[in-house]
Amino acid sequence: MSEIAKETYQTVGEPLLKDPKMHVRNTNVFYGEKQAIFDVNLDIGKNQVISMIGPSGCGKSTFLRCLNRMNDTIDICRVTGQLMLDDLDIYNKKIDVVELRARVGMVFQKPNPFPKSIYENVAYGARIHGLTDNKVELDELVEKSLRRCGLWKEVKERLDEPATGLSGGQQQRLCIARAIAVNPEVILMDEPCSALDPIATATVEELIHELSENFTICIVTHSMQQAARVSQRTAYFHLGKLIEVNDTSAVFTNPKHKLTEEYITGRIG
Amino acid sequence: MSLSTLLIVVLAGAILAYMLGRTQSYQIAKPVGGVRNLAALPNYYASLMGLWALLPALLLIALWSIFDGAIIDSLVRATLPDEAKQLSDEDFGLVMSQVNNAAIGIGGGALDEAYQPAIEKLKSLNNTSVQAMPVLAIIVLVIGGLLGFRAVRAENNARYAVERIFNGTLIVCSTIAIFTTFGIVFSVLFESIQFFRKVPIDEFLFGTHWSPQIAIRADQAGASGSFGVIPLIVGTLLISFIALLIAVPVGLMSAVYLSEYASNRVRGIVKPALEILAGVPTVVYGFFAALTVAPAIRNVGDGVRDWGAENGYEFLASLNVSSESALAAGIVMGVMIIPFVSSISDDVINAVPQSLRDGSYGLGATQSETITKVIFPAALPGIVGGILLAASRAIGETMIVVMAAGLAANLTVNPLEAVTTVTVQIVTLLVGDQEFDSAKTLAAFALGLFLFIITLALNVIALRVVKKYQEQYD
Repeated sequence: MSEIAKETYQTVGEPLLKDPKMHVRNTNVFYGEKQAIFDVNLDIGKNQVISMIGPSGCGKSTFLRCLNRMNDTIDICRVTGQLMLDDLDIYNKKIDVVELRARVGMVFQKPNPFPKSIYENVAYGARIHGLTDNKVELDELVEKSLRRCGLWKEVKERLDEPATGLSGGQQQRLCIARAIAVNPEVILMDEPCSALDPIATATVEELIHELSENFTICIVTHSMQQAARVSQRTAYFHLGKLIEVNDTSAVFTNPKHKLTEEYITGRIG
Repeated sequence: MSLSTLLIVVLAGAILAYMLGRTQSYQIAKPVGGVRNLAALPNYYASLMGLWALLPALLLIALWSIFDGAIIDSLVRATLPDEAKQLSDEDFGLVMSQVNNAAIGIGGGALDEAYQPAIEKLKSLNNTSVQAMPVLAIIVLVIGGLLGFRAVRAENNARYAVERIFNGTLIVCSTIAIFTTFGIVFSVLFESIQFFRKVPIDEFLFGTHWSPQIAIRADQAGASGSFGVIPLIVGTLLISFIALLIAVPVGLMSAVYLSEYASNRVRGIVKPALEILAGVPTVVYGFFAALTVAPAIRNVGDGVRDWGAENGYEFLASLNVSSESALAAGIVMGVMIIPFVSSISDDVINAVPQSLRDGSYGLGATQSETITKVIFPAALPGIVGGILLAASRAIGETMIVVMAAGLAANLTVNPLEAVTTVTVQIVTLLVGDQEFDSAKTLAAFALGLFLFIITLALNVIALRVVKKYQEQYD
């Protein structure tokens, strides 16, 4: 794909929106000397689900992790360009990363419940951010978060048991409950279903759909069907470049770029 | 031929057999159409033949070395004059060693003519043994080699045979440690039983006075011979507690710093430096404790007392710091076991999956919140294991306590006084002249058994804790 590497690339489709929740301009990401993301411009709409697809190593996870500065934990990673959450400049040195991550939550590829009880997992964020003033409020918050993830009925009898005893799908929903308990504005999901079986995947997808009423969701996925099912917009990444962005239906039925078409028809990736 | 020469010869023979086996396997490979049609690779045939030659010969040498003394003894015994056979066990042993000495030409003439046949017999038997062993060993080597040679056949899968021998060797090696442990436990146990015949077990376990000197004369003063283990246990626990009080926070925090905060460069310097601390001989720690720390503590204590006397603080004026104190020994021992705590904690903290850290950061936790609320609980079983290991080390430590805490068996929890520990008492009981039928000497074994049970219990608890709280991260 050397012709792409040379091209100064202009994203096809409609990367920009009116009144977006987050906007990203001229963003580059470097790992040491190596550039992983090239000049990405993208808006993320409010209370929408946007999915990022593309072959392995195309930079979609790296891009996602820029949005709440999770890349800060990697020493050699460097991000340039402008990334805004409403009016907040995400990469401004003065902003509080802790506050940013409270507003932009994250769910990971593999369920990663803390080695604590189910209750304590959900209460974790609320405790560190002081979201509740007493035990009653905390109980309510935990119950509400678990209910929204459809987990309450399954775990209400055993809130004190270790979260690691849950099934994979339950663990992932617990991680989502843990993220929404902090009441973030945006939730980033990095292949949230890749470690789950089809039934658990369906449950999580349904959950994503419901959550999109109140949250802005960015989801990285390897499954094009999943992207088609859960998202309103789809962004296609290739070798660190954002090739095409459009409404999901438009991307899948009428891809404008040759590479997008090749990927969704299964010829690359 | 001396034993070492014989071993070299046997080894050379085995190597020769190996090479022969190799050559032969290539020979047999030709008619069947190459190495690929053999049941095993030439190396396996060669190893098999080498092992066939080596192992039986080594076994013979080992058995011979172990048993020839006993066999020769019993043969010689038959030729001794009747009067010697009626002697008591101890005297008989004396006579036997005199016969031995005479046979190798030391101090002859102490025995009369009646013993001459025995001496002659011993000489000739020794002679035969020395000459026969190498010959027999080499014969066994050759026979073994030939048997191995017969096994070099195209359809014989030598891989399995070599595998089984390898397997057997591993089993033997692993059982050596187990049997050694059993041996130690039983030897300590039997001597302890001897001790408990002389001193009732409840007096040992619950007595509050330790004074193992036993009066030789009836009118001897201050030598009652009482064996109450409580002062020793309290001393041991006091010093270990002080040591852990130092080592656990310092070790744990340095582990957290090293694994979570330190840059690679700092880590590269600090971690090896900490491990050097573990390499300092305990006797060096001991004189550091005795010559630097203990006097320093005493000076500070005296200063505080004088100040208290001048300013009218009664409770300070009566402060009395011993020049050998539990505090000094405990502090230095704490420094000594820091590397145990920090090294193991560092490993287990590093083993906590990155995904847990990410999850916590992703919820907006700071680094210290992540460490105290997520990483610590996850790493806790390993950390507890490390601490208990350090505790066993502290309880078993002797040298520092001998030098810095003194020998006086005071029953006290005041860290400024001299105390003594179980291990120190074992040392003092077994140093110098002693007879093995006195309770004083046997007490050392009872103390050893006691200590063994304590550390064993600690280890079992450690394992249980680790198992109970172990988290499964898949």
